[in-house]
Amino acid sequence: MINIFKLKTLKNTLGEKRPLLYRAAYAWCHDATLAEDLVQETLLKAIKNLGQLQDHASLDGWLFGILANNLRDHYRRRRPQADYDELLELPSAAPLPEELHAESQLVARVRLAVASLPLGQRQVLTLVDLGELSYTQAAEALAIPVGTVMSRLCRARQTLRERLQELPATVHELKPATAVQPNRRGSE
Amino acid sequence: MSVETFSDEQLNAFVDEQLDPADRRRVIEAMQVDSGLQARIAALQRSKQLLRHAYEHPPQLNTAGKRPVHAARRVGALAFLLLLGGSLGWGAHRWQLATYPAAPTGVVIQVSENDPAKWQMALINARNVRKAYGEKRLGIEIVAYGPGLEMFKTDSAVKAGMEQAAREGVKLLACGNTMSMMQVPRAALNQSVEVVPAGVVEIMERQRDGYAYVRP
Repeated sequence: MINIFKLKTLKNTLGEKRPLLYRAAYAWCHDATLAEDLVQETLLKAIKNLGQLQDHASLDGWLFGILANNLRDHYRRRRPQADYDELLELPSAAPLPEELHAESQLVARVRLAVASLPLGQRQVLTLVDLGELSYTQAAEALAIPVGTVMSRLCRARQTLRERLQELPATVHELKPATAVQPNRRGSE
Repeated sequence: MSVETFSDEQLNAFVDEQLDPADRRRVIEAMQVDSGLQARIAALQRSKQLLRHAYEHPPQLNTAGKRPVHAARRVGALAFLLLLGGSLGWGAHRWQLATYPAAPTGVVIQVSENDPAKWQMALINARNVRKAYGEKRLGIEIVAYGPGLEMFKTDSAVKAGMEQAAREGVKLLACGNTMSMMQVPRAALNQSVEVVPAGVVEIMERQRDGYAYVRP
């Protein structure tokens, strides 16, 4: 049973979770407007249902669970269930690079690679890497078996590795204009 | 001794710290002798780091698409890349330190956890930085304090790797404050370890000297 004092502390904590939730939401949909809406909705639902939260330690997992449900509901409002299941399993149509608003080539490339993963893999990857959830917490948040978390994670990282293999090439594109390559032959 | 093989699931669980202690120990032991395994783990670590980096600053609604790219941020991204490449030995040979402004003069690696996997990563990081920068020797320090001091004890799980690192010029620095607080005498630490008055201060001072900071 959560008492009033705890509820107050939890409400404060919720506000601090916003950046974490937003990061995950953005990584799932790569759409700032939608991500903002999903997070807003998640925090409202969380405040309303704080009493249902049994175990303080699992707050992050609980919040990510609400976030995942909100995203699912969002897609379901627009498409039938079968489409959502497909969305979870199949590679997605990645957003255009200019929609990624990345501050660097590297960031854009990684976001693009993440965006092309099936939603199910993207969610697991994000919850583990950004949300720092344990496999069990991620499984609970997404209402899937732990084995599925592990296999999706494996496939997601495998795909990322393949897509991002030649990344060092972009390092040169990133070179600031002030960094002038010394002309070694100049004195010859 | 036959080399143990691990599945991708196991290695993913290892980098995500989801492996049970017994399996974790087996991976760490195998890592000491199996460079292929080290590379697989490094690739997974890299994936994790790239992902975190890519979503550290997601576009916010009000500024989406309008945020200027500050030079400082670019340099920050570069420093990150250099560290990432250095720490993971990935494609680092293609980069030339001399072409970047404000290149790190060294690297200081923090070990503050009693976790042999982290210790092993710290040693791998150190070795890869050394490999990546080749002749342009930069200072490499591993600073252990708090629970991380266990790494430097005579019976450390990474004793061999540590001694090799020391032979290769990596400085192993123990926090004197931790030693007196935990009542660890000098004799309880490996011979290749040096003692500094305070680990955290050492890290801060080196950063002021232009060292990059890494915490595996």
